[in-house]
Amino acid sequence: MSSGSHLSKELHDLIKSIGETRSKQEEDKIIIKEVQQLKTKLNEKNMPQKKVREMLIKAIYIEMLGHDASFVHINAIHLTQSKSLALKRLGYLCCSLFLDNDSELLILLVATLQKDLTSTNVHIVVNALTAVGKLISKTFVNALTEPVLKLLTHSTDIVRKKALMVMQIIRQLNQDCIAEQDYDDRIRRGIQDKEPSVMGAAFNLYHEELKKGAVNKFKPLTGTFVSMLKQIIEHKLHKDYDYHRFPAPWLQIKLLQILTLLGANDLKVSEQIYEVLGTTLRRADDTTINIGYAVTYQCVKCISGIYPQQSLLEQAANSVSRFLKSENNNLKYLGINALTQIVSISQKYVLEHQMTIVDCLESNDDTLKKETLELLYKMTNEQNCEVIIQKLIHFLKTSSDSNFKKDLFVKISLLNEKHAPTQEWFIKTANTLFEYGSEFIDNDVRNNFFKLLIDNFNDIGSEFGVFITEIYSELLKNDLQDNILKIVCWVIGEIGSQIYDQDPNKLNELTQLIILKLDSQLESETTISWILTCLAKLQSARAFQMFDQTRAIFQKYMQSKNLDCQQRAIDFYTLAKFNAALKGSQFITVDPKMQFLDAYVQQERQRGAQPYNPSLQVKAAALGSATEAPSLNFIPYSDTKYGGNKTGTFGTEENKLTTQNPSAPTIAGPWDDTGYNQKQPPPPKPTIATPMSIGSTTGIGSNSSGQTTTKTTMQSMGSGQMGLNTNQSQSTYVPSVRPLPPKEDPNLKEKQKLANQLFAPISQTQQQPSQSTQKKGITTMAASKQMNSNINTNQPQQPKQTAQVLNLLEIDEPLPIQSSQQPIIGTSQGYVQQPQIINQKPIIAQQQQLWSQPTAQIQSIPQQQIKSYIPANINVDQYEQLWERNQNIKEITLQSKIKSEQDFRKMIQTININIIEVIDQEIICAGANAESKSCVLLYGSYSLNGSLELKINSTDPKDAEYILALIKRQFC
Amino acid sequence: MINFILMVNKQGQTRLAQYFQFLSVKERMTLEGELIRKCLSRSETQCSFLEHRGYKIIYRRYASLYFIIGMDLEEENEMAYLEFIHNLVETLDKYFENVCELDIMFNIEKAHYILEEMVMNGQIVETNKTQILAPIHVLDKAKDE
Repeated sequence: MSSGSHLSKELHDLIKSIGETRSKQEEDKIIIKEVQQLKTKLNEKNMPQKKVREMLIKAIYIEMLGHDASFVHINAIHLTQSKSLALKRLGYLCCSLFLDNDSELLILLVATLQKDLTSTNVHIVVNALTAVGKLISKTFVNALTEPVLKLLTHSTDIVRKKALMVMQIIRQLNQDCIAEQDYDDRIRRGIQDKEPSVMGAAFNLYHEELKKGAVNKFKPLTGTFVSMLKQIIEHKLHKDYDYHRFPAPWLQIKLLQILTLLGANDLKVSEQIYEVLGTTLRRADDTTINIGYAVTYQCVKCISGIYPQQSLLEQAANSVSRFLKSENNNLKYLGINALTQIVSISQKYVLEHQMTIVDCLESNDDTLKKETLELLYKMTNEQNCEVIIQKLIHFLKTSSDSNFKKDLFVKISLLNEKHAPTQEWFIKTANTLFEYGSEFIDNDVRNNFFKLLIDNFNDIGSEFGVFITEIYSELLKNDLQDNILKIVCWVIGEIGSQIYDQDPNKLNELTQLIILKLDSQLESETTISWILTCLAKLQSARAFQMFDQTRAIFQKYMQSKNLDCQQRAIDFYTLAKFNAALKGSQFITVDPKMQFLDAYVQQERQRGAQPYNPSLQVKAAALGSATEAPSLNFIPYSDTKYGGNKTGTFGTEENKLTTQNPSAPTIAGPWDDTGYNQKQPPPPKPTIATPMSIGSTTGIGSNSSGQTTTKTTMQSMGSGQMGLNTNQSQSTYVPSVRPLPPKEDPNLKEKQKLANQLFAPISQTQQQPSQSTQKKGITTMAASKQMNSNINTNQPQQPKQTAQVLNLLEIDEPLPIQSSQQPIIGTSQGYVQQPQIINQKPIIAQQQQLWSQPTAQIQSIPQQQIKSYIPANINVDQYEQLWERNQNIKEITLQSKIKSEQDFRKMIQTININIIEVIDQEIICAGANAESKSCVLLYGSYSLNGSLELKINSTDPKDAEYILALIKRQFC
Repeated sequence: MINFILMVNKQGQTRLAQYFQFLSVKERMTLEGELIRKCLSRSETQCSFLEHRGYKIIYRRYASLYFIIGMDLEEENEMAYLEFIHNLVETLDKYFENVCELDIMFNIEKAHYILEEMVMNGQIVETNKTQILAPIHVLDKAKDE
């Protein structure tokens, strides 16, 4: 039949010549010539349809071979109106080959399609359905829905089959065309069709619905599908459906896919499937032909996809081992994939195939290697991880396929992280991995690694620090790729500088090594930035001595053409100046009691000044660093807490700062390493300090925002954002370098997390070694702080819950007056407002704002009162949490003078607590005992006739009594 | 779903291409070129599956002609599609009697019709050769008359 004798000589010759071409150029030449000829022929009028037919076949070739034949598209559309069945079909075929579903020309087809779909000639209908299936688009789906749906009950099976498939497309294009119930009914009739072809088509529709997630509504059909599968495997279908004497394999596969989805995680449904599944697998296994393997493979997938059953799993494992033992790579491929499925249920079946798996990894077949890698990755556990990782690293070393290597790199690092047996092993593996896969180290990889290191460092402490610093300083002695050098710089800067904080020799040695690297061959300028940052971190160590050298280096790079480098050099140079100055004033002692003021105080007292009243809140502040923070707390502090607790309320450090003479900031000065690292969470978008803001650090002692800024600089470097900075600064001139281009935003959260973990835990380990194993970060800081101050409360501690709840409270906790320069804990969370200092009693009308604005109060005690209260600015949630925690509830209903909200407010004002929320006639308020800081919560409900219902919930029952008495006295 | 079915010969000349997701002529050319190069670079012993540009590719060679199917990555039974290719070839063979590359070239529209009967909307709808060929025979008859 290959003679082509049915074709005109012209077309015959064309196709023959195309077939004989030996190069693309030759082919193009023929096609271009043909296109020109066709264009001239187009002008011929009344071209016989046979000619049009040949023209279109030529057009199929022209487009298939990569040229444009759009000029004949319209002829294809005309041809669909032909009376000849064959020409009509060719017209439709060409339309579907040439036209995009969005083509405007398609609209010209709608009328023809509508007409053909309703034709009495079944062949025309079949043609039209085939065409609709390919050409239908959103724009005219409505116009064709009805005629198609009508055809679902047509007397010819092929029409019903095609109509079903078209119905599927219609629903994909526009859900509203067919109601869900109607659709379900129609596909159900589809599977009940007496013709297997129609039934088979309907399986596609079910499978799609199930994949979309509509599993539950089809579960009752499980029995139907099971019996269909049973009939198929029992050769109940006509033998025309057999393929190599195997009964309807593709239908079997479709049914197995459907059953897998139905039976997943459902024992009841799965139980209906087990038997037929076993039989299907046995029968498929008995064949030794490809299609049998395909069905076997689908059975294995089904067995591992539904609710697991032991004997079936064994059976599946047997089949899989046959695949794996085969010499044929296609079967091996199936075997590996099937094993990956089974492993997710039980690892034991892998063991016997370990060698095969390793062979597959060494195979010269990339596809097989890739699938095997996936399997290995899935089967790794603590026991086999060393072996597997070693094997994988071997492949990383030897492979030349970069996609495969990248895949390997990612998987090894994940496995190492997850299963590494020891710290040492972890670090060494990571280093090997970085060495052989340095091209894959990106910001994410680095950040992740740093995070792990710092976590471990915090957990294990200096032992680990010394260990990794040693490893990495050893590495420094070799030639390093830039990507690894960056990591080394980070480790030395971040961890080395802490470990050898007091060891000048070690610091000198590290600094020397790092400085040497500046002279080595570097691949990119960003690496210099990393080195500079490392030096800056080193010079912040207490025992650092090589200021002359570092200053010279910074000075040199201040001229750098790379903006990022230049900016950093300027910043670090400025810092170095201060650092050196600070070291010089190391030993000035500060008198926390400020006895030097005694004479002055004495003098003023003699002139008639009021004596200092320690019951006022000022007391806390005046006592300076030795006291507890004067912040408003809702939990009562016992007196012993004063002076004793240094566990990290931020007020502590703050007091130092404010009470000290700015010129002698040595003890808690920002450059003291302890203070330096203390509890300064990174702001949400770290910006490199501009020289301006650096300048502001001159007032070190009094300006803590200066610290935050400079420290941030290092964080942003530590978090590895430099690559991007540089790119940006190279492309456009930006006067002040912003290290966080918008592109980085998706990673921002991760980076913040990293930054938090870089900082918060350091201060914690130094202050509270016992807590270092907890999860690090602001959250814990806040929580642990609150827990500490909670020690003396009556409530039993529920650590887990408390931590969470308290953290909430912590963030909005009102700050004391003195905290105006306080770095704000939790800035990075973005929702904490700057503390505002309100010296006056909060005006109740301002409540809306006050809820979230921490305020502080110094309230003079009303004269006749013994107890005094201060308002607590908490929100409703916090109120509720506190209410839950305090159990001393005093409930009473009184007849009072209070008949309006205004009256009620007056009362609250008199007590001097705060209204939290007003809902109709119900009001909730909160405050704290000015002295003991114990918390007082009040719920009141008034009515117009003066009946007043009160619930007072206070940590100290005496508060409740006192307030009640006060109300009775003044308002009843 | 199946995204495309191609027949490309060893010289990289496309002999038949049917796409179930529209690609422009230029995109098709590039894709077909890349695929045939990849297929040609693989040996007989390597498996018949690969991944390319987010498609799962299944190919099978008959004499000088490669049959290539491109599917969604989530499609799960590669072997079933490999055998589907064989079923397609058997069907072509049944229709053309000892099919060869030239048969497909001289009767390109028929080859398309056969595929249209077997795959609709990217899914296998018919694998029964009698059913597949019935409408094609009708066309032939109609023309003869």
